[in-house]
Amino acid sequence: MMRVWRRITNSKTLEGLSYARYVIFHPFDGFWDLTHADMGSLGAANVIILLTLAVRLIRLRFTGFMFLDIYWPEVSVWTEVLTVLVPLLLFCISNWAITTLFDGKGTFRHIYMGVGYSLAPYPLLQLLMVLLSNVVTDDEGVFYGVLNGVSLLWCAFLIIIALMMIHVYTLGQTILSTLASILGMIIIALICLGFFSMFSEAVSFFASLIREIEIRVY
Amino acid sequence: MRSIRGKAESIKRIGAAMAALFMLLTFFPAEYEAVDPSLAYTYVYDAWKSAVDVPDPYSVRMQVDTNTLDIGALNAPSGMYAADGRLFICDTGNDRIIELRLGGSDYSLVRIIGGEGLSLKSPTDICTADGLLIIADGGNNRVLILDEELRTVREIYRPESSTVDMTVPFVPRKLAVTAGHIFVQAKSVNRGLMEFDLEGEFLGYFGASPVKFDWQDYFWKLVATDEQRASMISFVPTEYNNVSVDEEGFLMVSNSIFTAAELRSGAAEPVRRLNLKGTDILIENGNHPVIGDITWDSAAGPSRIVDITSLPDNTYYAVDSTRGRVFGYDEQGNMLYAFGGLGTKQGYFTSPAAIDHLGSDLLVLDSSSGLVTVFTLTEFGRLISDAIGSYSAGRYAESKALWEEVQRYAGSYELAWDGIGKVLLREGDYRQALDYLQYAKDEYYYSKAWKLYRKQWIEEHIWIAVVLIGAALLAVFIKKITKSVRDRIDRYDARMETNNKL
Repeated sequence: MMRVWRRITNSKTLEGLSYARYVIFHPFDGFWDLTHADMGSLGAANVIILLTLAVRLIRLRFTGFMFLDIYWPEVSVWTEVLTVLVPLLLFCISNWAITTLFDGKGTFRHIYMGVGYSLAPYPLLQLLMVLLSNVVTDDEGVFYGVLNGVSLLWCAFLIIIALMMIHVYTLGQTILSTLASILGMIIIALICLGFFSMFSEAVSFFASLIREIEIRVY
Repeated sequence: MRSIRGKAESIKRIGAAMAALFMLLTFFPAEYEAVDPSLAYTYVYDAWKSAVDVPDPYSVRMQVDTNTLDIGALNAPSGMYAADGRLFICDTGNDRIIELRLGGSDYSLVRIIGGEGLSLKSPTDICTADGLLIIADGGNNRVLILDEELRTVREIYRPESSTVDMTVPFVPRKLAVTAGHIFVQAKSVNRGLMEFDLEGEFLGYFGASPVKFDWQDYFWKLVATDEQRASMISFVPTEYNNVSVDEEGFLMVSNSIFTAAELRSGAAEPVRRLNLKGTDILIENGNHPVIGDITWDSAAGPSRIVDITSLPDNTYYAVDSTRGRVFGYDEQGNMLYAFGGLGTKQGYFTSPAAIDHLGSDLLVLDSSSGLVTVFTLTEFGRLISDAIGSYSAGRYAESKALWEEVQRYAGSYELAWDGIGKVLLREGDYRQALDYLQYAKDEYYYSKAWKLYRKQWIEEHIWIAVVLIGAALLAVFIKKITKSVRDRIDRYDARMETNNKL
């Protein structure tokens, strides 16, 4: 536990985090230097993603009931965590797979870092929204909605810029490769699904085979 | 030595992980259990759409069985009307209408309408107005108006009008009278109710349900060939199945022709309340729409409301033929409770056809058993009814006390929380109102209470801001003074120094 904590709080990570502050307001320069001038840190990207996950959970618990009403029996912490992590990793993998083929300059590490840094506005704004939701009334809920939209759009915008800078793509190429990545995500998910269902079929086949043998022999 | 230390560390690590997990678990509230609506006799839906068991608001006082009156059993009765202690039952299969007088615990035959001299054929509905009996005499294709001595006052046949389809026979099925006009729901007429005045003049169609289709239907219509198009369902307004008048003179109509998907999307409106312009003014401020059961098994499908009756306190009760249930709603469209079910026990129905009320008693006609079940309020039902009544009459403190009494019977009854919360809001106890209204998931009133509470809080705590600003100003001021003093001293020192040098 301590070792993890120390690794998180070493100076490189903290530096990376304070660099994230620069990146979200100056995405073009920021993301360029992130990889090309090696200003980013993997640790900082991890921390930002962890913060995002934490905020997702905090949001569930502490958002005012007028804006988010939770049916607790149906909430699972793991589902909440995985709905963020799985698409994120799938996207990184899929984007890496595609951009490697099409002249992207970024490595997997770079892509992961870029996406991680791009999420930085999300925990900030969502935390603000959690506070706001406990102060405003229904009529003033527009602010809440707008802020929600801003937090998502900002992240999306940052991801696009990050990929553009990391891979040294034009905007058109970036958008095309992003769309292709999303398609790739779906394909990966389908293949995984197929694989798992075949795997479970195979397991049950062998299980029944063994049972058959057991019954016949004994 | 080393391995022991390693072990101790790993134990510590496991302990930390468990503590973290425990914190994560206590982060979220515990679960609670819902009841299965198919098992409970009386239930109400909470804000999460799960049915919650509540005490019975109505109990069976008696069953009206015409066999005990030596007039034989009813044959597929389909309509009923009750007013001023009189009960009319349309004995459709026997071509007659039976008038009874209902006492507290007994009933007696007044007369049988129809037979020699007065031929009725499959009468399906009756109502009274201005000393007249108005009968939907469907088999004779007429609406029959009689006076109290059963003399024919008027007969209304199919009106001669360009808007009336002359190929379809006029078969009035249900009718209601309000504002001196008769509103008739006739078979195979989907343009709304037919409106007549008491002189029998046809005034036009009234209150057709809006035609709704979504972009999917539109798309398929666009690409379909002519033959396909012809075989598709045409988008016409749906036919109502019943009509009744509420206490304020508005028409409560129900219809049961819709698919489950239409009900879920909100395109279907099983219950409508029509004003005299024919627009729907039903209030649906509850957590759920007024559609009867809000969850259902796909085999039986959604509730099909066949009749509605409105009580003087503006609550209304709808009876459902799918599961034989009676749904009670308040003025705002909150479901009060649902009770009943399919069966042959007392309090259950096999195929309910009509519902009406006498005072606060409910009467439900079962067309296959031919029995009318009379329900009377229990202590619990009386409390709810009184709490609603005293709130709308403006006696808020009384209403709050009654709702608190209701809570003693059913602690999780959300309307009680809502009722108390609204009164607390009026009394100015915003902090407590918030708790109650949040429990009831009443976002509208919660928001109101929150706004006022916030204002109050700011007014009470404004001194903090004043103190802070004052402190900041003071700090700036002190800083300035000390700076000017220091500057002066410095200048003085400098002058002294130069003087000394000289």
